Amino acid sequence: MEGTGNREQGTAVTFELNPAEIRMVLPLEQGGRKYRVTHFVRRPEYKELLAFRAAFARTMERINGAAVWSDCREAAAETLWNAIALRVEGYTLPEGADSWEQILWRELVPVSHKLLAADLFQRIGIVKPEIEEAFPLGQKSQTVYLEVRRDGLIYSNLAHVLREPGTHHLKEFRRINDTVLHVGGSRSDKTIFPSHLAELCGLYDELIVRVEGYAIDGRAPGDALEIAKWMDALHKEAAVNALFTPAVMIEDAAAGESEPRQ
Amino acid sequence: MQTVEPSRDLNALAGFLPVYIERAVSQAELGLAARRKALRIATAVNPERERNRDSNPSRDSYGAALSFPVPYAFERWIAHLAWLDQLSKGIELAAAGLTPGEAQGLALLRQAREKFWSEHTSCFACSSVNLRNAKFCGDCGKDL
Repeated sequence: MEGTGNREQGTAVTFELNPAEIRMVLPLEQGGRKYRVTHFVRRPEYKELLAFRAAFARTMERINGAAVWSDCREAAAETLWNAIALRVEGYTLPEGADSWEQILWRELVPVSHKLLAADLFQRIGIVKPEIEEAFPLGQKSQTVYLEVRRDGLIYSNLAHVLREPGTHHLKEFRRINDTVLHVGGSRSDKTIFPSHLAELCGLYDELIVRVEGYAIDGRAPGDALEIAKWMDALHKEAAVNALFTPAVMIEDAAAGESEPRQ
Repeated sequence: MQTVEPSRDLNALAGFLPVYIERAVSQAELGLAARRKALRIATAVNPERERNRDSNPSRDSYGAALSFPVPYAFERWIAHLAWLDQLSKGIELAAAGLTPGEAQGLALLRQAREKFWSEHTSCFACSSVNLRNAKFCGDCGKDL
């Protein structure tokens, strides 16, 4: 069962940006059997996440008029996992082995489990609002609320207060996203979607004012510089994406128009 | 294999821009034709006959000829340049801090567009795009 780290519900659990270890519980069903394994990993370094995303190498080809997508997520996840894994639980030792020290357990953990763990790392959502509010005009900052699952807890209301972006920032965001690579000479119009993690993190560092719901070694983060240094790169990316791509629900807008006005 | 970043390969960009513009016009033309057909069906005495009428085959072959793909990476970049061009009508672009690739690409986009309109004109009656030296509109037949 997962608990909640939502401050609004009074538990006041903050998301630690410098944890000693991260526990990831993976419930699995395989071949008619049910398993529950636990991976203990350390926080990935920024450069490790950059390498992970770079190794992901998402590509698209047009084959018979259809877009065919591929990537190297297994290899990328395996490299990252092998680097950050500290120990595992819920696995039995292979025959003939008496202790974990005797075996190269990192190599024995199935790639599919590593992939699942890497997916969990990347699962950062935007909080789904429950109530409609009046949009504040003339604001100098915007707040983005993220939701993350870790250590069996759901951390919602992780707030990122960012400066109101200017035209320059919007232009940069679009430029970053519209930069994809063409593989010269390919008949199938092979396109590589490079990782934009570093650039989006740069944009975040420019815009961040303060955060709520986070902690660095148990204390609240200080100024923007400290946040830029400690904030998880994947959280930065999610916050910037949420800031620049507001979800406009056309169907909802149409439905809203038909409702009687107060 | 060599990877190409559209913002840096200006020669390739200059080559794809006319194709992109012609294709965009062709798609807009197809949209216009569909709209005209819908209007005709709405006002026709026999809507069924109007609905079943074959579309202009010469225009279809024109559209098919232009389905030659501009590489997706270039499409994305040209769309970005077109957005910048649109943006420049409302604000001073210098304030947005263009990169060299954006500035050069924008200049190429504007050149290609000017060249296209120096060779084409739109019909005053139905807005179809025709060659500039055409005597009458290829779609509605009005004198140009």
